[in-house]
Amino acid sequence: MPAIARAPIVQGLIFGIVGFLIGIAGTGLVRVAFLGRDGGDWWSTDLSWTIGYPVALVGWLIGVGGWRYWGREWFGGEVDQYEMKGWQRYFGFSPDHKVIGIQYVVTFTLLFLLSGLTVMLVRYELAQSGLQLFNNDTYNAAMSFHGITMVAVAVAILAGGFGNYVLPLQIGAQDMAFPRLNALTFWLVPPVAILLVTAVLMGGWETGWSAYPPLANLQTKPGQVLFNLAVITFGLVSILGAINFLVTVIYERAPGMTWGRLPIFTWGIFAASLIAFFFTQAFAAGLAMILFDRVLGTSFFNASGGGSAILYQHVFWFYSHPAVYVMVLPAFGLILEILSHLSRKPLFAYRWAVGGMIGIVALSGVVWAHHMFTSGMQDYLHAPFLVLTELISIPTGLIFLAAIGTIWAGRLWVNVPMLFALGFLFNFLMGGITGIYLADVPTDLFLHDTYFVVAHFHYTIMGGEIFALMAATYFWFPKMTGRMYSERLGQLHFWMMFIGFQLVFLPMFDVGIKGMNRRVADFPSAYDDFNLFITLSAFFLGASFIPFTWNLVVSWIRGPKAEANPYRASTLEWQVSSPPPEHNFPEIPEVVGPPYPYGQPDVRHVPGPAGAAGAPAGGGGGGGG
Amino acid sequence: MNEAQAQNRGLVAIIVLAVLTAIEYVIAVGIDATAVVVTLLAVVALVKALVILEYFMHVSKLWRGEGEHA
Amino acid sequence: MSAAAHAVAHSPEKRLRISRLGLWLFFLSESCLFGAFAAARFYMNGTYVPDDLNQILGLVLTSILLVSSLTAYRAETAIAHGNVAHGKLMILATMLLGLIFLGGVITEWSIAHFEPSEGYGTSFFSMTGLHASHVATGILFLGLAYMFAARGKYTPASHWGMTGVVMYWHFVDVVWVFFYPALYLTG
Repeated sequence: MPAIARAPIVQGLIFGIVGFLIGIAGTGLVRVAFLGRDGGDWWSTDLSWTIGYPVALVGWLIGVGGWRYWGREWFGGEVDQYEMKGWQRYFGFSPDHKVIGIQYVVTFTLLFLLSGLTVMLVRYELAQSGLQLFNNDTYNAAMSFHGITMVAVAVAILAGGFGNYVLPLQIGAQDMAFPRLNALTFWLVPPVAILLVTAVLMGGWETGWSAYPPLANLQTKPGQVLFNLAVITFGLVSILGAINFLVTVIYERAPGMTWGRLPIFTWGIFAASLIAFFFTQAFAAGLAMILFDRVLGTSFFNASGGGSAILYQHVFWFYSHPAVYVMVLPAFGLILEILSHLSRKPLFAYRWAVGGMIGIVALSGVVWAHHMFTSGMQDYLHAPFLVLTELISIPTGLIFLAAIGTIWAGRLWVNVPMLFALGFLFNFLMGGITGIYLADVPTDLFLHDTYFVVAHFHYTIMGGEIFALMAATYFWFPKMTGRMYSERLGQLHFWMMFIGFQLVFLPMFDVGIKGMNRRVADFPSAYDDFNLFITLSAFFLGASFIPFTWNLVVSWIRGPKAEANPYRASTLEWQVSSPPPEHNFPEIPEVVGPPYPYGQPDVRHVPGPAGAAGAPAGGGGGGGG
Repeated sequence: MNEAQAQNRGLVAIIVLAVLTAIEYVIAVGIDATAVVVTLLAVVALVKALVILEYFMHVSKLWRGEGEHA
Repeated sequence: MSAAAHAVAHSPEKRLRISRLGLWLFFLSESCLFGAFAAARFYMNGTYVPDDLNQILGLVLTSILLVSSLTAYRAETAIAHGNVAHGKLMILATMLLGLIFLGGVITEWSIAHFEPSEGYGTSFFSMTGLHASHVATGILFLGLAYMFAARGKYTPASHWGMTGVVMYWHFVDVVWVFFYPALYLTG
């Protein structure tokens, strides 16, 4: 057998395809046997995919290493130790959290760039009224693909990628609590990507990322079923990952790492995991109900059978509103982390920031129906959901209090991660303030389903979470790759992205107030000027990712070697080499003080010379290359 | 706790659960007011769940540690 | 079960606590899935229960599942005290009761006077089906536990696999504790 055929991914694909064939063949046999000559066709698109895909998924996991390194022992066998070294580690069932973190980051960055290219096409279509590039169907396919892939990126890349890589280091652990479950969780991601791309190639689906019935029940495109299966799988990724983080933070902390000494990024991941591990099941339930309606003939969302399409919106938003906190809570933690390190000050109001995060977790589950003010739900639900939604601004305000208090009178080291962190603060503030108009019923009735919503959402998630992602990418790039990025290209990326972002999304507020609807391929020609401007700005924003990609690829290959601690930061991940040794720490570290002891000569996070935390910041040019 | 004692504890739990199930059935058959039935059923189901969580699934081992009863 | 390649060097007791917490979090997570279906039942149908639902069959199924929880408890307790013979017997009894339960669900489906396309039928078939699929999974896991017990891999000091499977079985029973009144008794 040639070496390539033994590669885990190839084996996974082979087993996956075999599994799919077994699944559809079994389904076909049963159908032919039981439906017989009464028109029993062996193939039914919805049913065959619904049965074939889970079998394919099991085959894929077995082939990619789940059997060799884990599954065997469930049946009493002996498992192999994972022994791959070098770059090959990244293409197999590695239980090392540092490998898995990079697997997540690279996979989702590729998905992010692909989804970004798709939205460039969408913006090209929207540059003027009328239909140029797309017809209505293909427009919906492109827009839906952009929506769900970006949601997946936003949910998974900070927690799954950087959380996996950094969190065990930050708390002084050797690995996650369940290393092999961690590997299994990551290897559920490629099928999601494959399924979504296949769905688009088969004509896509029409419902956006939210899959509202009755359209989701009625449309005949097979892409809808593939979408549902993909997102249920992705939900599993989110749930299993979150459980792993929760147990890790609870049981794997180093001696002396009390809850009050946890770095704030770890708190952010912990809070997001509290939401993700519970609420994600609701999304899975909603999508499963659609599948039941389509495949088994139930009537959850079919009004003629006693169901209700509004039920779906309740179930869906019960997850999908908390999901935005799964996206931004790690971002909050990350931003506070960077602000503290690079302002050379202890995190201001640490306890209040943690309290704010917990407050967001507590409120996240009781605000979902603010997405449904125009849906026709009961009127008496409007007022409570308005009030509860606006309450969220209190814990969010605590996070901002901590952020502003930390940079206040600090010695700011304005390098690339710091720029992105400051950009986050501006963008998220814009997103938060415009959110008030969407939480208020009277204004929401007017603004709902316009570009105002698009702009608000992108200010919070792209301007917030994705800016935080960029901050994280640059901040931990030297730690993860052992190489230093180019400061100059990074700054170019930041300013292009920041300015481009404002130019794209600020006008959208205006055009939304003027009544332009979202999710449509065509629009009245009165909006032409706005849209041409937005499209040109979007191309500029898209172009900002050229220096980003160039910088990271080239720096990873031949950037200057990074020091262990280029930012002279205090937390544990900076106290080991870049990249860290295989089991993270030569010996388990002992934590003796708060995580950000800047400016306090006699306080330490870990015992050792004052060099790490006490030294003053370098100038703006530090670490350039 | 030795094996016989532990097994007896399971027997007691199952008897409690059986009685509660019988009570559920009687509530459903014997009471007409739906609101009362639903409330009582919810309470009884909750008690049943708590019995299983503690006596069969040992939920308190989460914070008390292993081996303190079993 | 052997330690993972990258597993952290913990004492067996700490390893056990870690596994136990992970499993509990999984149960909590699943309870949101089951809760969504139960909430949908009341959202769609209120407390309506069809008059011709077979109440006796429902009560019998509930009792079978309860008894299977006792046999599962006995199996785990016996294994925890080194009484492997009784443990194996009780695993088999639990599996058998689970199979009878599944047979009962299929019987119930075949004699039901309502369709999946009706409001109540939608909830009834999906909730019992979702639950039954968990029972079936539990039976498979019990089979694996039996194999481990038969090969003498469980000792009083180390039998997490057995404990985990039995906890899962009890969790599926807890789900039924709520589904049974929700589907049968509220009318």
